[in-house]
Amino acid sequence: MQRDAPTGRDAAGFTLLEAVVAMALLALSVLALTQAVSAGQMQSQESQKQVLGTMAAADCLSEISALPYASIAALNGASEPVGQMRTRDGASYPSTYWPLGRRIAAAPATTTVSTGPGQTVAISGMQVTATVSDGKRDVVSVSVFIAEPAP
Amino acid sequence: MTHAPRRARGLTLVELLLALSLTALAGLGTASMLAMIGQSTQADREGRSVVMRAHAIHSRVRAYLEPALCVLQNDPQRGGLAVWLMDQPGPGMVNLSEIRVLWFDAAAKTLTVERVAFPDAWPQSAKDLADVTVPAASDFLSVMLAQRALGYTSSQDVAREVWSAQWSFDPGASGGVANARRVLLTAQVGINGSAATGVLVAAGLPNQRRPAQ
Repeated sequence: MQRDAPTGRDAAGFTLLEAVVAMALLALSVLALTQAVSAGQMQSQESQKQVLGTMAAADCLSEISALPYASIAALNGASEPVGQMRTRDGASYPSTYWPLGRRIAAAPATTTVSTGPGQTVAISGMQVTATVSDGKRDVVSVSVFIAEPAP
Repeated sequence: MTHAPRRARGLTLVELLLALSLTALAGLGTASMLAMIGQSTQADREGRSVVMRAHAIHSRVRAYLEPALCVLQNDPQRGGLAVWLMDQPGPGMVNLSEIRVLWFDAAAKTLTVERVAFPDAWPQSAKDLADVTVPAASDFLSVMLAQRALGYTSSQDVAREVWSAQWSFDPGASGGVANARRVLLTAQVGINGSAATGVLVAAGLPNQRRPAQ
Protein backbone atom coordinates (compact mmCIF):
# COMPACT_ATOMS: atom_id res chain seq x y z
CA MET A 1 0.00 0.00 0.00
CA GLN A 2 1.38 3.34 -0.92
CA ARG A 3 0.80 6.29 1.28
CA ASP A 4 0.12 9.65 -0.30
CA ALA A 5 2.59 12.36 0.45
CA PRO A 6 1.11 14.95 2.78
CA THR A 7 -0.09 17.96 0.97
CA GLY A 8 -1.79 21.24 1.84
CA ARG A 9 -2.74 21.75 5.47
CA ASP A 10 -1.85 18.22 6.55
CA ALA A 11 1.77 18.99 5.78
CA ALA A 12 1.85 22.21 7.79
CA GLY A 13 3.41 22.70 11.25
CA PHE A 14 1.74 24.86 13.90
CA THR A 15 0.71 28.31 12.86
CA LEU A 16 1.86 31.21 15.01
CA LEU A 17 -1.66 31.57 16.38
CA GLU A 18 -1.81 27.91 17.42
CA ALA A 19 1.58 28.16 19.10
CA VAL A 20 0.54 31.30 20.97
CA VAL A 21 -2.71 29.69 22.13
CA ALA A 22 -0.84 26.59 23.28
CA MET A 23 1.68 28.65 25.22
CA ALA A 24 -1.08 30.77 26.73
CA LEU A 25 -2.87 27.63 27.90
CA LEU A 26 0.36 26.32 29.41
CA ALA A 27 0.98 29.63 31.15
CA LEU A 28 -2.58 29.68 32.48
CA SER A 29 -2.33 26.17 33.84
CA VAL A 30 1.00 26.93 35.57
CA LEU A 31 -0.50 30.13 36.99
CA ALA A 32 -3.55 28.24 38.26
CA LEU A 33 -1.31 25.63 39.86
CA THR A 34 0.81 28.29 41.52
CA GLN A 35 -2.22 30.11 42.84
CA ALA A 36 -3.73 26.90 44.19
CA VAL A 37 -0.53 26.02 46.04
CA SER A 38 -0.14 29.58 47.27
CA ALA A 39 -3.72 29.66 48.56
CA GLY A 40 -3.14 26.36 50.36
CA GLN A 41 -0.03 27.71 52.01
CA MET A 42 -1.78 30.89 53.07
CA GLN A 43 -4.54 28.81 54.59
CA SER A 44 -1.95 26.72 56.39
CA GLN A 45 -0.19 29.81 57.74
CA GLU A 46 -3.53 31.15 58.89
CA SER A 47 -4.25 27.97 60.83
CA GLN A 48 -0.74 28.09 62.36
CA LYS A 49 -1.43 31.65 63.43
CA GLN A 50 -4.66 30.51 65.07
CA VAL A 51 -2.88 27.75 66.98
CA LEU A 52 -0.19 30.18 68.18
CA GLY A 53 -2.88 32.74 69.00
CA THR A 54 -4.79 30.23 71.09
CA MET A 55 -1.60 29.40 72.99
CA ALA A 56 -0.81 33.07 73.59
CA ALA A 57 -4.35 33.78 74.79
CA ALA A 58 -4.36 30.74 77.07
CA ASP A 59 -1.00 31.79 78.57
CA CYS A 60 -2.31 35.25 79.24
CA LEU A 61 -5.49 34.03 80.94
CA SER A 62 -3.62 31.40 82.94
CA GLU A 63 -1.24 33.99 84.33
CA ILE A 64 -4.09 36.39 85.10
CA SER A 65 -6.01 33.69 86.94
CA ALA A 66 -3.12 33.46 89.45
CA LEU A 67 -3.02 37.22 90.11
CA PRO A 68 -4.66 38.71 93.21
CA TYR A 69 -8.35 39.17 92.36
CA ALA A 70 -8.31 42.89 93.22
CA SER A 71 -5.66 43.59 90.59
CA ILE A 72 -7.49 42.00 87.67
CA ALA A 73 -9.84 44.92 86.89
CA ALA A 74 -6.85 47.19 86.28
CA LEU A 75 -5.81 45.01 83.35
CA ASN A 76 -8.84 46.07 81.31
CA GLY A 77 -7.64 47.68 78.09
CA ALA A 78 -4.05 46.48 78.39
CA SER A 79 -2.54 45.64 75.02
CA GLU A 80 0.69 44.41 73.52
CA PRO A 81 1.55 45.40 69.93
CA VAL A 82 2.27 42.81 67.29
CA GLY A 83 5.65 41.18 67.88
CA GLN A 84 5.98 42.55 71.41
CA MET A 85 4.11 40.06 73.55
CA ARG A 86 5.59 39.45 76.99
CA THR A 87 4.67 37.35 79.98
CA ARG A 88 3.56 39.10 83.16
CA ASP A 89 7.13 38.86 84.41
CA GLY A 90 8.56 40.48 81.28
CA ALA A 91 9.86 37.46 79.35
CA SER A 92 9.67 37.96 75.58
CA TYR A 93 7.82 35.48 73.46
CA PRO A 94 10.02 33.60 70.96
CA SER A 95 10.13 34.67 67.34
CA THR A 96 7.58 31.99 66.46
CA TYR A 97 4.95 34.40 67.80
CA TRP A 98 6.18 37.49 65.97
CA PRO A 99 3.07 38.05 63.85
CA LEU A 100 0.84 38.35 66.90
CA GLY A 101 -0.18 40.88 69.50
CA ARG A 102 -2.89 40.74 72.15
CA ARG A 103 -5.20 42.82 74.28
CA ILE A 104 -7.16 42.19 77.45
CA ALA A 105 -10.68 43.10 78.42
CA ALA A 106 -11.84 42.59 81.99
CA ALA A 107 -15.32 43.42 83.24
CA PRO A 108 -17.40 42.51 86.29
CA ALA A 109 -19.80 39.68 85.56
CA THR A 110 -22.14 37.29 87.28
CA THR A 111 -22.72 33.68 86.47
CA THR A 112 -25.25 31.25 87.84
CA VAL A 113 -24.50 27.70 88.82
CA SER A 114 -27.08 25.02 89.28
CA THR A 115 -26.77 23.38 92.70
CA GLY A 116 -29.74 21.07 92.41
CA PRO A 117 -33.22 20.78 90.97
CA GLY A 118 -34.60 24.32 90.78
CA GLN A 119 -31.72 25.72 92.78
CA THR A 120 -29.14 28.12 91.43
CA VAL A 121 -26.43 30.18 93.00
CA ALA A 122 -25.24 33.46 91.55
CA ILE A 123 -21.49 33.94 91.61
CA SER A 124 -19.93 37.31 90.98
CA GLY A 125 -16.52 37.74 89.49
CA MET A 126 -14.68 39.05 86.46
CA GLN A 127 -15.06 38.05 82.84
CA VAL A 128 -11.60 38.29 81.34
CA THR A 129 -11.12 38.07 77.58
CA ALA A 130 -7.78 37.81 75.81
CA THR A 131 -7.92 38.69 72.12
CA VAL A 132 -4.97 37.91 69.88
CA SER A 133 -4.64 39.79 66.61
CA ASP A 134 -2.17 39.95 63.75
CA GLY A 135 -2.44 43.72 63.42
CA LYS A 136 -5.05 43.53 60.67
CA ARG A 137 -7.74 41.48 62.31
CA ASP A 138 -8.50 39.42 65.40
CA VAL A 139 -7.15 35.90 65.12
CA VAL A 140 -8.64 34.34 68.24
CA SER A 141 -10.47 35.43 71.35
CA VAL A 142 -10.64 33.40 74.57
CA SER A 143 -12.62 34.23 77.72
CA VAL A 144 -12.53 32.98 81.26
CA PHE A 145 -14.67 33.73 84.29
CA ILE A 146 -12.68 34.32 87.47
CA ALA A 147 -14.85 34.05 90.56
CA GLU A 148 -14.51 36.61 93.32
CA PRO A 149 -12.92 34.93 96.34
CA ALA A 150 -15.03 34.55 99.43
CA PRO A 151 -14.38 37.36 101.93
CA MET B 1 6.68 30.98 -11.96
CA THR B 2 6.40 28.01 -9.61
CA HIS B 3 7.86 27.58 -6.13
CA ALA B 4 7.57 25.04 -3.34
CA PRO B 5 4.80 25.93 -0.91
CA ARG B 6 6.18 27.33 2.34
CA ARG B 7 4.35 24.83 4.45
CA ALA B 8 5.99 21.91 2.79
CA ARG B 9 9.53 22.70 3.81
CA GLY B 10 11.15 21.71 7.09
CA LEU B 11 12.76 23.98 9.67
CA THR B 12 16.07 25.61 9.01
CA LEU B 13 18.81 25.03 11.55
CA VAL B 14 18.38 28.55 12.91
CA GLU B 15 14.64 28.09 13.30
CA LEU B 16 15.20 24.77 15.04
CA LEU B 17 17.77 26.22 17.41
CA LEU B 18 15.51 29.15 18.17
CA ALA B 19 12.58 26.85 18.86
CA LEU B 20 14.69 24.62 21.08
CA SER B 21 16.00 27.63 22.98
CA LEU B 22 12.51 28.97 23.55
CA THR B 23 11.27 25.55 24.65
CA ALA B 24 14.25 25.20 27.00
CA LEU B 25 13.60 28.65 28.44
CA ALA B 26 9.93 27.88 28.98
CA GLY B 27 10.85 24.53 30.54
CA LEU B 28 13.44 26.14 32.77
CA GLY B 29 10.95 28.75 33.95
CA THR B 30 8.32 26.12 34.69
CA ALA B 31 10.84 23.88 36.46
CA SER B 32 12.18 26.69 38.64
CA MET B 33 8.64 27.73 39.51
CA LEU B 34 7.76 24.17 40.47
CA ALA B 35 11.00 23.92 42.49
CA MET B 36 10.08 27.11 44.35
CA ILE B 37 6.62 25.74 45.04
CA GLY B 38 8.21 22.54 46.33
CA GLN B 39 10.60 24.40 48.60
CA SER B 40 7.94 26.64 50.06
CA THR B 41 5.64 23.65 50.54
CA GLN B 42 8.42 21.88 52.43
CA ALA B 43 9.08 24.97 54.57
CA ASP B 44 5.37 25.27 55.24
CA ARG B 45 5.16 21.61 56.24
CA GLU B 46 8.07 22.00 58.65
CA GLY B 47 6.60 25.17 60.11
CA ARG B 48 3.29 23.42 60.65
CA SER B 49 5.04 20.48 62.27
CA VAL B 50 6.90 22.75 64.68
CA VAL B 51 3.75 24.67 65.61
CA MET B 52 1.87 21.43 66.22
CA ARG B 53 4.69 20.13 68.41
CA ALA B 54 4.80 23.42 70.30
CA HIS B 55 1.06 23.18 70.83
CA ALA B 56 1.38 19.62 72.14
CA ILE B 57 4.08 20.66 74.62
CA HIS B 58 2.05 23.69 75.62
CA SER B 59 -1.13 21.80 76.39
CA ARG B 60 0.62 18.86 78.10
CA VAL B 61 2.80 21.01 80.35
CA ARG B 62 -0.13 23.25 81.26
CA ALA B 63 -2.14 20.16 82.20
CA TYR B 64 0.38 19.51 85.00
CA LEU B 65 1.04 23.09 86.04
CA GLU B 66 -2.34 24.83 86.14
CA PRO B 67 -4.05 22.45 88.58
CA ALA B 68 -0.86 22.11 90.65
CA LEU B 69 -0.90 23.33 94.23
CA CYS B 70 2.74 24.32 94.20
CA VAL B 71 6.17 23.73 92.76
CA LEU B 72 8.03 21.51 95.20
CA GLN B 73 11.49 21.59 93.71
CA ASN B 74 13.42 22.75 90.67
CA ASP B 75 16.88 21.36 89.99
CA PRO B 76 18.37 22.46 86.65
CA GLN B 77 21.41 20.24 87.25
CA ARG B 78 19.32 17.11 87.33
CA GLY B 79 16.78 18.54 84.90
CA GLY B 80 13.81 17.93 87.16
CA LEU B 81 10.83 20.00 88.23
CA ALA B 82 8.64 18.46 90.94
CA VAL B 83 5.10 19.70 91.42
CA TRP B 84 2.44 18.90 93.99
CA LEU B 85 -0.44 18.10 91.69
CA MET B 86 -3.26 17.42 94.15
CA ASP B 87 -4.02 16.86 97.81
CA GLN B 88 -6.29 13.87 98.05
CA PRO B 89 -5.28 11.32 100.68
CA GLY B 90 -3.74 13.55 103.34
CA PRO B 91 -4.98 17.15 103.54
CA GLY B 92 -2.15 19.63 103.59
CA MET B 93 0.60 17.01 103.26
CA VAL B 94 2.38 15.73 100.18
CA ASN B 95 1.91 12.04 99.49
CA LEU B 96 3.95 10.03 97.00
CA SER B 97 1.06 9.65 94.57
CA GLU B 98 0.53 13.43 94.50
CA ILE B 99 3.97 14.23 93.11
CA ARG B 100 4.71 14.70 89.42
CA VAL B 101 8.24 15.24 88.17
CA LEU B 102 8.85 16.78 84.76
CA TRP B 103 12.27 15.58 83.62
CA PHE B 104 14.27 17.14 80.82
CA ASP B 105 16.86 14.74 79.45
CA ALA B 106 19.31 16.82 77.41
CA ALA B 107 21.04 13.76 75.98
CA ALA B 108 17.86 12.06 74.81
CA LYS B 109 16.25 15.44 74.01
CA THR B 110 13.04 14.43 75.74
CA LEU B 111 10.68 15.99 78.23
CA THR B 112 8.92 13.34 80.30
CA VAL B 113 6.61 13.26 83.28
CA GLU B 114 7.02 10.65 86.01
CA ARG B 115 4.68 9.67 88.80
CA VAL B 116 4.53 7.01 91.46
CA ALA B 117 2.43 4.08 90.30
CA PHE B 118 2.19 1.07 92.57
CA PRO B 119 1.70 -2.32 90.94
CA ASP B 120 -1.83 -3.02 89.74
CA ALA B 121 -1.71 -6.39 91.47
CA TRP B 122 -1.57 -4.72 94.86
CA PRO B 123 -4.87 -4.38 96.74
CA GLN B 124 -6.01 -0.82 97.36
CA SER B 125 -5.20 -1.15 101.06
CA ALA B 126 -1.57 -1.96 100.24
CA LYS B 127 -1.39 0.99 97.84
CA ASP B 128 -2.80 3.29 100.51
CA LEU B 129 -0.21 2.04 103.00
CA ALA B 130 2.65 2.56 100.56
CA ASP B 131 1.43 6.03 99.61
CA VAL B 132 3.28 7.64 102.47
CA THR B 133 3.57 11.31 103.33
CA VAL B 134 6.73 13.04 102.18
CA PRO B 135 8.01 15.90 104.39
CA ALA B 136 7.83 19.32 102.73
CA ALA B 137 11.58 19.86 102.96
CA SER B 138 12.44 16.62 101.17
CA ASP B 139 14.50 16.19 98.05
CA PHE B 140 11.50 15.22 95.94
CA LEU B 141 13.56 14.32 92.89
CA SER B 142 15.55 11.81 94.93
CA VAL B 143 12.31 10.46 96.36
CA MET B 144 11.03 9.87 92.83
CA LEU B 145 14.32 8.27 91.79
CA ALA B 146 14.15 5.95 94.79
CA GLN B 147 10.64 4.90 93.83
CA ARG B 148 11.83 4.37 90.26
CA ALA B 149 14.61 2.10 91.52
CA LEU B 150 11.94 0.01 93.24
CA GLY B 151 9.96 -0.15 90.01
CA TYR B 152 7.08 1.87 91.41
CA THR B 153 6.96 4.70 88.90
CA SER B 154 5.44 5.29 85.52
CA SER B 155 6.78 7.69 82.89
CA GLN B 156 5.21 9.31 79.88
CA ASP B 157 6.72 11.38 77.11
CA VAL B 158 5.60 14.98 77.08
CA ALA B 159 7.68 15.83 74.02
CA ARG B 160 10.59 14.60 71.97
CA GLU B 161 13.17 16.56 70.01
CA VAL B 162 13.37 19.11 72.82
CA TRP B 163 16.81 20.68 72.54
CA SER B 164 16.66 22.81 75.64
CA ALA B 165 14.20 23.42 78.45
CA GLN B 166 14.44 25.95 81.23
CA TRP B 167 12.03 26.70 84.05
CA SER B 168 11.65 30.12 85.62
CA PHE B 169 9.29 31.57 88.17
CA ASP B 170 7.73 34.84 89.24
CA PRO B 171 9.70 37.08 91.62
CA GLY B 172 7.66 35.74 94.54
CA ALA B 173 9.62 32.50 94.19
CA SER B 174 12.84 34.17 95.31
CA GLY B 175 12.04 32.91 98.81
CA GLY B 176 11.59 29.38 97.46
CA VAL B 177 9.92 27.82 94.44
CA ALA B 178 7.04 26.68 96.63
CA ASN B 179 5.93 30.34 96.70
CA ALA B 180 5.76 30.60 92.90
CA ARG B 181 2.39 31.56 91.46
CA ARG B 182 3.58 31.70 87.86
CA VAL B 183 5.80 29.19 86.06
CA LEU B 184 7.48 29.73 82.75
CA LEU B 185 8.95 27.08 80.49
CA THR B 186 11.18 28.23 77.65
CA ALA B 187 12.24 25.46 75.32
CA GLN B 188 13.79 24.91 71.93
CA VAL B 189 12.03 22.36 69.78
CA GLY B 190 13.91 20.70 66.94
CA ILE B 191 12.93 19.33 63.61
CA ASN B 192 14.93 17.20 61.19
CA GLY B 193 17.87 17.06 63.56
CA SER B 194 18.33 20.75 64.32
CA ALA B 195 16.88 23.22 66.81
CA ALA B 196 14.08 24.93 64.96
CA THR B 197 12.01 27.18 67.13
CA GLY B 198 11.36 28.51 70.58
CA VAL B 199 8.38 27.45 72.64
CA LEU B 200 7.07 29.32 75.63
CA VAL B 201 4.58 28.06 78.18
CA ALA B 202 3.41 30.56 80.78
CA ALA B 203 1.14 29.07 83.41
CA GLY B 204 -0.42 30.45 86.54
CA LEU B 205 -1.07 28.41 89.67
CA PRO B 206 -4.38 29.87 90.88
CA ASN B 207 -4.71 27.26 93.65
CA GLN B 208 -1.19 27.82 94.95
CA ARG B 209 -0.53 26.80 98.54
CA ARG B 210 2.48 25.37 100.32
CA PRO B 211 2.38 21.95 101.93
CA ALA B 212 2.25 21.77 105.69
CA GLN B 213 5.62 21.27 107.34
